Amino acid sequence: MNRNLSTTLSLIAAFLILVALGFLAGRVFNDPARRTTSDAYTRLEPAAALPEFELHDQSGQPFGLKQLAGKWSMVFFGYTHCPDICPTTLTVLREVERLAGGKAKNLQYIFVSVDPDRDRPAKLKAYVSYFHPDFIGATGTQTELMRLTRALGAYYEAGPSQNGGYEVQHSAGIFLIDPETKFRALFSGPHDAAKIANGLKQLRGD
Amino acid sequence: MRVLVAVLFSICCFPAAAADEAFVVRNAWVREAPPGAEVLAAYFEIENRTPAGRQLIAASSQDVERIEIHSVTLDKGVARMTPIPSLALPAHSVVALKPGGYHLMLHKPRRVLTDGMTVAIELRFDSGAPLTVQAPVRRGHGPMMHHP
Repeated sequence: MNRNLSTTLSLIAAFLILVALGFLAGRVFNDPARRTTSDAYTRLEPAAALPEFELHDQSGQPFGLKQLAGKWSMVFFGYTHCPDICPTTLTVLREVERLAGGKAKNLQYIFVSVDPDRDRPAKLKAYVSYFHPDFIGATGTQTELMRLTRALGAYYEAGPSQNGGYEVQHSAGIFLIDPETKFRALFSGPHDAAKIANGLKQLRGD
Repeated sequence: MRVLVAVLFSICCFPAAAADEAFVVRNAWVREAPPGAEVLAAYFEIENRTPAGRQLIAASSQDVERIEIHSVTLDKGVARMTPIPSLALPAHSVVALKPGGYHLMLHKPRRVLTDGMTVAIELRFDSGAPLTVQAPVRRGHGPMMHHP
């Protein structure tokens, strides 16, 4: 057999082996039991337990693990002085609520304000109820907020005062907490209501 | 009756636009905000029809106390909103201000702005005449009355 032919045959064999390996790898990594990422969400394996935290809701009532237990919760961090990202995301969540079957009893949507100085209960109430009467608004002291944000890997930081106001940078993701009050998945964005609703279906096992 | 229908049709179904020789603004809208909101966002597409790069340097409206131009960036999942002194409008190009990206931040509305109303916004540039855009206030998705 001449050299060129044997080289060519070796290359073809190597190529076929790589294709076979790729195929097998695809089978392993696409196995639904192992998959942790879809294009809409990243699932945590295992789900992460949350510590106790004490916020209050838009009616001034306590809001903590007890209010998360027994339900799936979609949590988003923001503030009412945010004209773009927050209303946009809450609008998407309103659409998700509609797509995810309207009055699914064990699914709730929570807007956590990272701007407690300005977002007092009455303001929170007016804000979240505009998007949906059942949406929950919550906030609290920096200490308690950070208990929650740290556990979820969420971030926020108020900026310098300018013209009598300030911006607050904040994580833009939507955090899914399961009925055992564990952090189950993160929807990173960009937020698409249909994709999120589908992802929710998969994650809840609907 | 037909004239009325035609007029109503053009009001609701054609994008709010404004134009002069240098710029064309299309699909302007203001996102309706929850009651008591002190800030709103305005979006539009602006085409620079000139062969020179230009800058949007300011905006104002009788309906709000002041307007800032804002950029939004997503850095490792964290949204950062920053006022910027000007927005570059490259020659012969369209720059889009849209949800999740550039927007005008309208501070302290002087009247409650609800779906169906129109806000007149004056845009000022590094040179040349200002341009007034009539931006309809819309609840929810976007400038047109459909779901994206």
